[in-house]
Amino acid sequence: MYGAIFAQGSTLRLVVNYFITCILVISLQIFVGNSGIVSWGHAAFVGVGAYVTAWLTVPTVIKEDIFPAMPAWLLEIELGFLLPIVIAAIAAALAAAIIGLVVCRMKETAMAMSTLALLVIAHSIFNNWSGMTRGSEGVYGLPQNTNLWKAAAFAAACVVLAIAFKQSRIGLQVRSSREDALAAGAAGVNVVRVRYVAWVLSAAVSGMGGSIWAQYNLGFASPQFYYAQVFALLAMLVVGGMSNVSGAVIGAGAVTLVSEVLRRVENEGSLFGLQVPRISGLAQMVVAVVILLILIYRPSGILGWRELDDWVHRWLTRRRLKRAAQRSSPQLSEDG
Amino acid sequence: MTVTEIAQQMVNVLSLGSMYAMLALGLALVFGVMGLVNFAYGELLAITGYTMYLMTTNGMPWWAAVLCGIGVAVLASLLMERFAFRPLRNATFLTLLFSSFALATVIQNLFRAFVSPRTKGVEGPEILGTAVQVGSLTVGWMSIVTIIAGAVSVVALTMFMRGSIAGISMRAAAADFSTARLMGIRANRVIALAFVISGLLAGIAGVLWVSRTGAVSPAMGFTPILKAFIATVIGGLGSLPGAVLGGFVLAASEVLFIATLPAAAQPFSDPLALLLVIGILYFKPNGLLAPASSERA
Amino acid sequence: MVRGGIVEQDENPLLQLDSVTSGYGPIVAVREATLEVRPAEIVALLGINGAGKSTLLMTIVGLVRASSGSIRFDGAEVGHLNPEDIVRRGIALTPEGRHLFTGLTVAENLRLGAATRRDAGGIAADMDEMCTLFPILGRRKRQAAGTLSGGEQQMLALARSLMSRPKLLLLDEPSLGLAPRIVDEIYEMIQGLPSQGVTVLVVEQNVGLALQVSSRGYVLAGGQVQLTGSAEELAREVDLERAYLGAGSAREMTQ
Repeated sequence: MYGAIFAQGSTLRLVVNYFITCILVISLQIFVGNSGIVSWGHAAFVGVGAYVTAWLTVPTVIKEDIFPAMPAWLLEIELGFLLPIVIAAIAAALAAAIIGLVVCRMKETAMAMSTLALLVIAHSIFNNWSGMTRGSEGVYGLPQNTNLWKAAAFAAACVVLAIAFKQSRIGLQVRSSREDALAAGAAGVNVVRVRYVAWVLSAAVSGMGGSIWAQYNLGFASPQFYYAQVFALLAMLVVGGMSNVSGAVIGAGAVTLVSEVLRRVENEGSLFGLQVPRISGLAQMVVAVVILLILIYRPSGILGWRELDDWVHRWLTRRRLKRAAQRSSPQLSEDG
Repeated sequence: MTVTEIAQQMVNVLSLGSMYAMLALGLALVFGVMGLVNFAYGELLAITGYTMYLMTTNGMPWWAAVLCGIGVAVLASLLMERFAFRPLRNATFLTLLFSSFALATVIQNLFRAFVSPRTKGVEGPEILGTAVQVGSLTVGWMSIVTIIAGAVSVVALTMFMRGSIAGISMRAAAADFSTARLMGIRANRVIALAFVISGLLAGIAGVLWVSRTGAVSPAMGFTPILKAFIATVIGGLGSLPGAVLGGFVLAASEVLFIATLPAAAQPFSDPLALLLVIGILYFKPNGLLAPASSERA
Repeated sequence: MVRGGIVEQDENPLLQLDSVTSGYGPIVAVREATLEVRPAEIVALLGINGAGKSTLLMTIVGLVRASSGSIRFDGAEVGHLNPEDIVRRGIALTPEGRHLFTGLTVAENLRLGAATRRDAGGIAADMDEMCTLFPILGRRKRQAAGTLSGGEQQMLALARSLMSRPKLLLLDEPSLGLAPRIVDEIYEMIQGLPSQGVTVLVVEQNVGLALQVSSRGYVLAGGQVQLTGSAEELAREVDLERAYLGAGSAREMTQ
């Protein structure tokens, strides 16, 4: 089986986490990429997904121990892999639906700031509602229900979903509001409503991602739903190119790869055999510098505005045209 | 609540508000001339703190550490402008915001790497830990110093902005950048000046912050910038009086929740204040001191 | 020097545009414009809305970058400079719509007009002079510029431009939206400027008004200079309407 290639412990973990990261970055792309409004608050929805999943999957024996505030009926519940994912997605979507009633009505800048407030509020709730979340000490005892194939399958499904949304009528309308919301409104687009749809959908996917993540990493704690993680995900989106889904996937890949390499350098102190001084936080710093450079020199990300298949198509077309030109005028092509 | 208790809380509001107002002013100044909400602004406080830490642990007197700390903050602010933000001069608001976030991350990690990932203590003069009796009130020296620093900063800044051609030029540039250039005002200089003053305010606030908490840590810059950000949003992005007002409104709401919430709900005082902010943003997307219909947002 | 309708080239024009093309991205607003303004002249720039007159003024002052052609002011090439630097050489622009700093006071607006000057005494003296010239401004010195009426704002905008003691003043639609009486006052003021050493290039939709004060004029249509001549000649031109619609190149009028 192909899975055997990745069976080595840390590489397997890396790949599975990459697929899960893809889901999370894609969830961001659904809202941020289409509307152009940065959301700092999606960590809230990931958290909702993760905690709901914990409530539903952690064995009762452990739950009784770590969640003193949990009602008896919830303590009894112990579910498998899929159902918690669905419930988590619904829970996150519900939270987003309520929050969105207020937040989506605001103008772009105000909305972006509110998502920052949302991040802080959510983190505070996760951190302080210890009876149900165990705050910064964290939840443990989650079953490892996710594996390589399930993660890959969900990631692929999300890619399809995100592209479908992007090209749907509502997706198109959201994108039209991205450059100039006023003009879109004048053209008959109900900007608030279509943004709301993107907001709720992206939250659902975030919740789903949080659930899959929780069911892989066995445990988590409240500090993992704060600005460092938000920044990392947004960074991946920016690096790959916000406006397209393949950008999300590639950005996630690029940053994950670079981070992993740097993390190993940090731990082992050597890069390809060269001695490198142990610098704490090196990975995060390098990624941030790269983000900065990309924003200065290529703000539309690695892939720019176009989806991956579009780039391939253009490259193939260019090759075809070049070959046709060479065939019709062989002398010219000699000078190369 | 008794009168004394209310008065005590008012002192708290004044002290906390002064701090927030100073932070918000620095942020608002740069936003006014450049349209940039500088997330790395909080790191200036951290830079001040770390400078003070390095100097005090190497035997320098506290007052020297303070002066150097403020100086380094101003320098860092200028460097930020020159190398990180000038190339991004015409980028969109969100790109600028995000880049400043990236810059903040870089700086935080520099602390982690070159000083220590752990929290370090900074010792200040003992007097700052003591309090003074004013009638039936107990007022800490820290609060007094903060209030005075805040008042002096606001007054000095106001005088500068109204009385000097540099200050008037900055206000003009914040209002209408192109027309300001038509007056012959040099864009780069005005922006650099805004960063210098912003750095100065951050330096002073940094000294106060570190004196109050007695410690520095790599992530310490996040809370101040969050408070400053919220305060400017409440008061109206880019409005200097709004920044001051926002600082005090935020302080008042925090003190209010701390004073009235039961002990179990105490950790939620900050988030509740933030809910208030979302509410304000909903009705007045441009802040309290801006007309709700202006297209700035 | 103008003689019998034939416009002669002076060796030292104050402002000289040679085949200047500029616009906004893909939109070309000014097409190969060639014109000149000589010292102590008042020159009119005429044309309907959208003809490119404002863009031309903004190109001269550097707010819009010219994609080709040369702009010479006072003997030096200025086309590549920043607005701040062009303005510091002695050009002032009173933009269409005035663009006052509405939140700042009248006094502060005037003070900003002199932002490039260092002589505190001279600045103060000039501020007093402006307030004498426009008594309204003197009375409303401490008021926010946004509280002034349309006519008062136009006067403030004009006064602000003059505070820098420019050699060349570019005026964009000074009469727009103003009552006739105010317009007369303003144009009386404009007429007196050359004798104070200020050369003027004025953009106006009100053709009659512009030709009354100016000695020469250019007619712009579709971004190109369609017509040029002395004020009298342009005033007599029956086919001025046709010139707006025509797509021909610049043509000089002879008697």
